[in-house]
Amino acid sequence: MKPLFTVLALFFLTSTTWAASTHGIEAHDPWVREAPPTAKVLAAYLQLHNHGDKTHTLVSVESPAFKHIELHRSEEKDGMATMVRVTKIMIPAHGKISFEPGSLHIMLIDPVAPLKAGNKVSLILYFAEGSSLAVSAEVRRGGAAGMNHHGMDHSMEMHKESHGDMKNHEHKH
Amino acid sequence: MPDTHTSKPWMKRIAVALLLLVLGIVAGALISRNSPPPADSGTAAQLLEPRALQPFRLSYDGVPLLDNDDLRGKWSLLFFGYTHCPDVCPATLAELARAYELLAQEPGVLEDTQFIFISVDPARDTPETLAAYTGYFNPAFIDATGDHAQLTALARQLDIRFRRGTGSDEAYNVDHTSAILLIDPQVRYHARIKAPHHAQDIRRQYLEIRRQYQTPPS
Repeated sequence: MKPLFTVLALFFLTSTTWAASTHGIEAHDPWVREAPPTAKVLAAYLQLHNHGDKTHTLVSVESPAFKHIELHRSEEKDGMATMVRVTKIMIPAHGKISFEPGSLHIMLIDPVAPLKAGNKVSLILYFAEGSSLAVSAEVRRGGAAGMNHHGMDHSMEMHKESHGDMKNHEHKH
Repeated sequence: MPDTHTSKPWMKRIAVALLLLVLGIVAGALISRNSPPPADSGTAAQLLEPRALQPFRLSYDGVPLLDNDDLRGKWSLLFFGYTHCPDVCPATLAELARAYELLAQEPGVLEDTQFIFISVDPARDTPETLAAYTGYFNPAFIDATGDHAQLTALARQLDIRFRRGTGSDEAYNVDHTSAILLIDPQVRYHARIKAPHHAQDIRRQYLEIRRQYQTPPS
């Protein structure tokens, strides 16, 4: 019985690095787009699933790796790409919210230190209902595709066509 | 005559079925005509009547960075943005960098192709900042910026708009048109690739436009 428990515990511990849960809220595939070392503003993306019976409202995010964090949505307005600050995001019961390139993103302002692909960034998500959720986001190189099929196709294409240079290869998990 | 009694509703049913079929075809044709185009064409390049660029000059603190002559004899893919942009700009530049890698597979293409990132935020983006920023995506990428009047003069010719958006003095956003612009070797505004951008689409559309340019239909 004990080995089984150890295996389960290990599985739980390792799985929390990509899927954390609080009061039925689960975070999937959190990642931060690697940016030039000089970049002052970065973006984090993830999916939030609400498995519970009550709406959860994301109101803020904090991280020891950044001085300031805001929630934003990229939009097309008057023929221009613009960013609208969002103060709360409702995740309905049994619903899902996706933060993805070109849309909702967690805006990470003023990194304390430059971040490189492979680094982990801890983010704490605060909900209006009083709960919080700690997630560990991986820093990755990434383009506009996020995790949709379009992106997968590109990724596979790059893999196929790349000639030893993995510089622009997007990591998918 | 029981036969006629049974055949009448039978014929009626066929008539109704035929009518429904015809209505279905008409409705289908109408719907397909009015339905939005398939998702892929959202990123289709928009070909323009090539328009010669009027003389422009971008400079920073008196140092010339870009003018018409820099575009002559090469295809240029232009993208306007700013380095404090966390989402759209790095995503687009990453896709452009991947498009560059894909185009490297096409013999001779990169020899007369240049990628240019133009910052519409000269207050925060110095040439040094820009060089580090674009160099991260691809060291071959060219960058430029200019004062507001210079940027406006160029942007206006390319139907690019930009304006300071919301946010504090240190962390303000800049709204900007996110299309990629294709300038042909005769320094003419040739095509426009609208967002969202994906490397494969950029590659395919650029190569198609290039092919048509080199062998114009007789």
